[in-house]
Amino acid sequence: MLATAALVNEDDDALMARVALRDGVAFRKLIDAYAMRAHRIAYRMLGDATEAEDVAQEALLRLWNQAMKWHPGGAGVSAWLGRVATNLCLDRLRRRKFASDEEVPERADDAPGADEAIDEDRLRARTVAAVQALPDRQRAAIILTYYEDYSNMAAAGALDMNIKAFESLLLRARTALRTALGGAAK
Amino acid sequence: MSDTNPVDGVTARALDHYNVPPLSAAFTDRLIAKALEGEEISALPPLIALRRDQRRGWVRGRRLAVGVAVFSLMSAAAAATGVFGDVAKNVPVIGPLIAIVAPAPKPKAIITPKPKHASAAPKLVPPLVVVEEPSIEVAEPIAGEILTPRVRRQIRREMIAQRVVDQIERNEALGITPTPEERAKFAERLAKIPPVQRVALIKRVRDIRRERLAKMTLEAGEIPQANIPLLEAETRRQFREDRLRLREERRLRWMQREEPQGGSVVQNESVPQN
Repeated sequence: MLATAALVNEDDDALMARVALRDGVAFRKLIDAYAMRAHRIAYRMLGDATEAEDVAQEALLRLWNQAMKWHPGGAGVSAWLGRVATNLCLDRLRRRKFASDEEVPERADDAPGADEAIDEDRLRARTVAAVQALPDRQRAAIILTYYEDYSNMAAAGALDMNIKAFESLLLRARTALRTALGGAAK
Repeated sequence: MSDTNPVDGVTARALDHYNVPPLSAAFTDRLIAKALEGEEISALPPLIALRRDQRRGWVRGRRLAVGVAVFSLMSAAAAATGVFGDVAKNVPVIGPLIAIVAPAPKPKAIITPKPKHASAAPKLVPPLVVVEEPSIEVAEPIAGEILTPRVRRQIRREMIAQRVVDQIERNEALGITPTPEERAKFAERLAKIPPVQRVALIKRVRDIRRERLAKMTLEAGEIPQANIPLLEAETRRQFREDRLRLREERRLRWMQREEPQGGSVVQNESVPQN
């Protein structure tokens, strides 16, 4: 696993070196490899496909523009993009709160009947509502660790937190999710 | 943490339903186009600088040069007028400018009194003629110098003495002899001068007369007269009267001091005659 990660990083560094020379082919390879991850993070953070594409595009353009400052031997393009995408989403969410008068829901919407039979679509809607109801950073913690398989350390780094604070954040996020989804999943 | 408090199965099953739609088909092409578009813009050759900008640079430079020149002239003028004192004369650029604009003033002559008794007498002076150096050295008053009252008195005395001698010489040249009224008037004016000053003035008038006469006779090759009477009778009389009057005043003051002690005061005591 470590060898694979090292190999990936080595490939990332080589591709970034070519991108620094403005190699479009190398950039396309990086997009194919990592754009979906940035898009996934953004979609689950923001809950909107169009905005998620915008965030993915912005993160990858930053990668292109800052290729000349790339330091080989780091955590790799995937970790860099995940960090940038997460922070772009947090920025957008922060702006969204200031721009909108709507109150941000703190808890899962209880509108779908918990007693009703749960089909796939209903369960998805319930899950989306529960995840979106989480505070922004708790949501980011769940998305990075559960969906993107980040280690706690990597996720803490992506959110600019120390590990203890991140673990506390993650614990609160899981508890809130369990409470919100428990009834729905049964 | 994930080990101690993992996502339970129910929650995990629910989370797995949060699937993500795929990226749009043209996402990659659009992104690459956008990235390369920025590169093309930055790869364009720089715009040719407008002549207007070049001219603006020259205008700015000219203003700067004019400003520097004006500042230099103003500072040089200020230094020349003494605003900065002598310090400005040592500044490399300003110093020569000051020297051009305001040349250094000539050193002021310091008049030192010559010794009255010179070791070697002038050869041209005949033995009977005693040409003395002026007893009063009247220095040109230096601007800004504060004259002491003594010097001021000397200057004034010299001017009056010169004027009196001029008048006497004019009268002699015209053959005019002063009338008794004029003599009395002159004596009255002399009486207003304090005795010491009056004696000094008369002495000075005599000296000037003697010097001028000596000079005239030397130029004419004649031997001058040794004695020049000048109002001697009036002067002597005036001096004597002044002395008596002073003595009388002193005596009266002394008697007034003695009076409160009960001593008898002798009135109309005869004035001692000299």
